[in-house]
Amino acid sequence: MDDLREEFIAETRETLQILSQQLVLWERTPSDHSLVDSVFRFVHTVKGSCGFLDLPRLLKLSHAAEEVLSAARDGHVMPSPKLVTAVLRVIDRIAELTDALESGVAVSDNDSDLITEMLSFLPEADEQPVIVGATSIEEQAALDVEFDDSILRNRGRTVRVSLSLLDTLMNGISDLVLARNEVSRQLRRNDLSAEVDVAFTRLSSSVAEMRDAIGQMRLQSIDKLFSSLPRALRDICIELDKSIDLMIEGNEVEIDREMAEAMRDPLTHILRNAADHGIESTSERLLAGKPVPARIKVIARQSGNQILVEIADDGRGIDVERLGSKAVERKIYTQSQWANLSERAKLDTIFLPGLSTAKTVSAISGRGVGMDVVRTNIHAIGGTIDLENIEGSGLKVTLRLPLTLSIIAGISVTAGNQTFGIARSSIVEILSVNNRNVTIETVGGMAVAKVRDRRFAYATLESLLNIDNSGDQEETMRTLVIMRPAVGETFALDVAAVVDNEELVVKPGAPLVMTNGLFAGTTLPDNGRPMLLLDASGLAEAMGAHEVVFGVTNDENIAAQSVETGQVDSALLFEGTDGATRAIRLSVVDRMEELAIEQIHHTAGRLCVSVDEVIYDIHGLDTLRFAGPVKVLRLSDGHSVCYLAVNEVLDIFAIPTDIARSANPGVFEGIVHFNGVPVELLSAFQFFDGNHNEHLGPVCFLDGSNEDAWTTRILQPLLTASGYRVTFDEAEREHAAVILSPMGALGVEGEAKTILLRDTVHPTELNSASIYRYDRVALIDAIEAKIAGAR
Amino acid sequence: MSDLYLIAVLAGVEVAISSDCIESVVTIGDVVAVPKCDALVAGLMALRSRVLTLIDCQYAITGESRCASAYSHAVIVDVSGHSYALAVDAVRDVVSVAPDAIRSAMRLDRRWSKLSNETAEIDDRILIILSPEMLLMPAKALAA
Repeated sequence: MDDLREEFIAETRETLQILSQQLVLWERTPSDHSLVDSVFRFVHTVKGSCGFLDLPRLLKLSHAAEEVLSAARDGHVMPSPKLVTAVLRVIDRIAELTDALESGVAVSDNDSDLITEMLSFLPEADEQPVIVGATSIEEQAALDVEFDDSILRNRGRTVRVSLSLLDTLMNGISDLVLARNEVSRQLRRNDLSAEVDVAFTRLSSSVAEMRDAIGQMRLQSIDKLFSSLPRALRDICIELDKSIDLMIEGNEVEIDREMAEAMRDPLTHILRNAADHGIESTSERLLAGKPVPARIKVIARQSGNQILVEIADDGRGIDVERLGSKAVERKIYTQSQWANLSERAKLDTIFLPGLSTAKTVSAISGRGVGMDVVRTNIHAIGGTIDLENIEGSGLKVTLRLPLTLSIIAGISVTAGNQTFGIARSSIVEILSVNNRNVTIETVGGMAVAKVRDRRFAYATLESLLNIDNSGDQEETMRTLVIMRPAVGETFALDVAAVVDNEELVVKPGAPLVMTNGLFAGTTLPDNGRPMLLLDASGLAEAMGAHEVVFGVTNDENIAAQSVETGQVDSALLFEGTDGATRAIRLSVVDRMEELAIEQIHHTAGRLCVSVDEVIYDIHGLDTLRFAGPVKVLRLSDGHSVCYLAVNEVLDIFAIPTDIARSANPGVFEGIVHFNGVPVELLSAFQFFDGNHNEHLGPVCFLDGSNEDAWTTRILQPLLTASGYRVTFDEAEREHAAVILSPMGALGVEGEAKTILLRDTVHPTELNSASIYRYDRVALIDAIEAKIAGAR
Repeated sequence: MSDLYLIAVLAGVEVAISSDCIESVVTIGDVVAVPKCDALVAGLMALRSRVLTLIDCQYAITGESRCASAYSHAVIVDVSGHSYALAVDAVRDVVSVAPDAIRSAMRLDRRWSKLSNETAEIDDRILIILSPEMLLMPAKALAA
């Protein structure tokens, strides 16, 4: 209400000013109907707002003026100076009251005389003026009390300024900052007296203060933008008969005024889409077991030099396949083109004009004009839009918006003969490539920069921007800039040089320039040459930093852990049977042995070794070898033992604290460095996984022939791998913990420890208690249940 | 009421540009290249405290890029909130054109039909009226 009242005050004041002008004009040219019309409209607006805001005193005044003006408009009253003066007096009084409303100072004057005077201009003065006058006197006291209330809120006065004026001011201050920088450079060069320095410092600081103030003028809390959403959603809900809760977070985020305006439509549109397409009808939601009311979350947050606005719903998400068939139907893609699109590209077709997955066109959305317009609008203000689709459980739309016209601290770097800006907020560190702590290596064709103990995706700026770099490249000292983008992994950018460190006024670039995603905007540094500001997230993407498997984020944890425990783990370096050099933690290696080839054999579908009449797993051998002893490492986890075949044992070294994460964590624990060479560290876990040394495991008696292909080839290895000992020997049937009976071997019912297996997915009435033979989980569960029951 | 049009030479062809969308005509100074960008963009140039995107008009018309330094003049236009400098071969004149001299374009060839949809009759000649919107926002003009 207070907001509305403020708005009313500002608006009325503005209106009254124009009104006075118009009135005066009207007085001069009474025949001009358009003038009296516009005056009438103004007064009518004031009257309407007064009624709405419950300001009876203002209402009565404006009502009286309106009535007279209405008569004048209809030609019943001729405009005379007296009339105009009277109307102006009313207007003055309204202005007084408006001021009073804001300042809280009571205006104790009686309005009835004005009203009476006003109404005396009406051709047929009836009892109305008396009544109006009487009530106004009676209500006077009550009204004054109302105005007394507002004394308590003595607000700062506001003026409404046009955005263009703000822009001019902003440009002016940018010019001023540039000029100051130029002066500063001149001063440095000319080494002037201390007085000049002091004066310049003062100038500098006041320019900085002013710049901050003007910057703030352009900002407003995003709340103003969000406050219209609940109402919009309410209307949509009523229309669609859906029940949706709206959660808004991040109201305090500050956003450029202009940006807020530009965001209004796209945001409403996305919200509508979410409510209409995304959220299912109440009955559908109940069927799907989803909560009613549905939920839409709108979250704003600031991340570096970006504002992120997320709109997430818990609806059905986008049906990508339906989107595909639509796209094919509309001949946007052919079937094969669609099939070859990446998931992301498929999802992005939602932004193409003329596509909608809605089955029916509703009043609100589904016409297929929308998401393309939304994206165009977001791009127009230098933002991006991303979708995160979980089919069946919702869609998250993320808008990333730049902080336009903001002044950021930045550095400028060179690539080839060009200069680019980088926001300092995204920079972690700057070091020379020749620094002892920096090594640049190539792993699998991918360049990686190792800085002290951490690794980053690496690329030169020239290569990212296709800048010709053939010239003076040779022995210059290049610089490494470690950057952490708002989205994506930290990476290392190799630039020719870092030249300057200055404050940059960033403005969004033209869409043509921004579409490649590498730039965050343009800026004009004090040398007067335009400069492009690099977008850290865009660079990270161009570099493919998000694909880098090195676990930068985990490094700190691992390092911290080893510092805590204070112990250094060692690894054994060996050459595997495939010739690759790998490492394994020394702690799991019992000893090194040599096995005779006769000891290694194929058992139950895999390679085993028998040592001292016990069978162990052996890893690292693909096929049986037919010659020579085999070098093996005996690995132990404390309970069970297995062997790993190797060609040669090479070395033992301390595992560095930084283990880069592996793309295949099941097989490799990560990548470590040995004498500067990256080496894969084998995960010992895999060797013991599912291996409990069969001779110790519970016995499974397989009821059936050991000639049965399925039983020997499929079932037996599965059981062996799961840690059970398998037997076909009738003699062991008594002692077996479980008896497995594949279908066909019937007639064993009655034995509690028997599990029946069937070869069809769904049970028939003949074998309802059986388990589908490929349902591994159910099978193992059943075996475990029998074993547990037997004990 | 007749409108003012600027006659400029683009890729050797005289065209008219409505003065409504023109902010000013400037000489091109220092131009900074924009890497990895649409070939339409010849670079960035500064105009006082503003940064303008310089458009290679020859590329738009003929598809052949031309070095920014080979241009001397640019026409500054504002399209959807961004300022662009259209690099032109030369600026000839400003003429007033009566509304009835403006026709919606006859059959323009493919490259020109992407840049204009109107012609004007000026001094017994028919000139194409270049639409900066169509030049700079091809997608949008298409949708509209």
